[in-house]
Amino acid sequence: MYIQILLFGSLVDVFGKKQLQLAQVNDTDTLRLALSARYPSIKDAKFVISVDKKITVENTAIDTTSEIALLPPFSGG
Amino acid sequence: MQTTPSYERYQRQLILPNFGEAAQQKLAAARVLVIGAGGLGCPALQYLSAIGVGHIGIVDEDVVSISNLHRQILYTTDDLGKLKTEVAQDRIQKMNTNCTVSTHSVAITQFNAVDIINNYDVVLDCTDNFKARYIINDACTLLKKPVVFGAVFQYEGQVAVFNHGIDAVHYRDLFPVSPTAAEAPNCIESGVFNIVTGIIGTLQAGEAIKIITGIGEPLSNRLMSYNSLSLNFYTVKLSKNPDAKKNTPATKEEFLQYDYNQFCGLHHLKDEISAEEFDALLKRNDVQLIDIRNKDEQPHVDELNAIRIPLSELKLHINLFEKEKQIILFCHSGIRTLDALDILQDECQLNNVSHLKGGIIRWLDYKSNKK
Repeated sequence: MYIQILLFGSLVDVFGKKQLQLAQVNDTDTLRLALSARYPSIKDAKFVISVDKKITVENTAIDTTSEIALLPPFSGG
Repeated sequence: MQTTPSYERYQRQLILPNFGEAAQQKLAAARVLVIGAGGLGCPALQYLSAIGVGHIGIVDEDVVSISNLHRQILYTTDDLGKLKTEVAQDRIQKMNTNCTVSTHSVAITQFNAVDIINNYDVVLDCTDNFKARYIINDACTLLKKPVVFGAVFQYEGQVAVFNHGIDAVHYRDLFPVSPTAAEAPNCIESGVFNIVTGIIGTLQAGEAIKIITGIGEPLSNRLMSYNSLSLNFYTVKLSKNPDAKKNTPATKEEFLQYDYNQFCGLHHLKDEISAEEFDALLKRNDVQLIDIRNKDEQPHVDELNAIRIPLSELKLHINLFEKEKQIILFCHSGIRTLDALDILQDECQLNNVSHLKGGIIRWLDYKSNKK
């Protein structure tokens, strides 16, 4: 089973695509670890994880039906 | 209702459902501060003035340059070299003579932010760097002023309303840790689609107007992301972040003492060489120039007599660095050299390295202005 992840901003360039499919993980902390293990170049990237359109501020459970998005900060003006 | 010139001016909005005379009077009494008169600030200023905001403040230290004109639509080719605050003041004052416009021709800093922001009811963050964004956020959080945040990256933009509504969150609840300049490049480094700044700046004006008049539902405690290529709007809810509180200055004294350079990864300020200094140093033979751009990156400038060692290969070629010389690194716009300084100073223990602020494009600009 897979989870779908929407990507925003510079993360689209880092991953080379707008959406990512990843083997299922059970929570957002594990998701961060899985992403860094598979894509070492994002290790230092700053982004927040939203689950079902809510920004997570602590470890949050996810499943294959969750809508997950990775949002980096923008600074341009 | 009597027909006055100002009734005629605002007639199309006065007849809107839920708008009317009361909303117009709230706007006339309002004081709105726009920090940054660039891509976001220009459209925001135009709509705030046109709708009848009584008092508008503009903060910006920059002058108009030619690369601004594709998106900073208040300025024309005749304005090159003029202060943005003064040109913008003139334009929006002419647009609506009922509007009083104050200018603050300075960069926002932790030392002037409280004094400037205190005079206003709502603040628009239209700046282009994280240091300014965290300073504005922290000052407005201290002063309990609502902030309409806007930011862009290439074809995308973000809008949010902070310090407004019940259980109000602020920027540090969203991003408790600042990226360094290298991690989140600005418009100079990464480019920007002009209409994105137009749309985001206009949305910021709209949120400020909603906050002032009480119509609709402002984007409080929410972050909206806009993608111009797919034309998608994606809105997420925000909540209090436990990491935010311990990093947010709780008093004015803490705010004044906060090390924003360290927090925003700008600790290399002391290693900066300006374009002018760089130009003068070129004549000396105790200086070694290292171009850390990739092999084929343009513009290539022969007269610089630099060794090209791409950022990713620095450590492989550390033996090429001359320890007895002053080493100056440069790249396209002075962002990647910050990473190079980290590598060379921290990992390779070289302390005779500095970098060209603003990169080769800043130096080329300097040279063409000198002619």
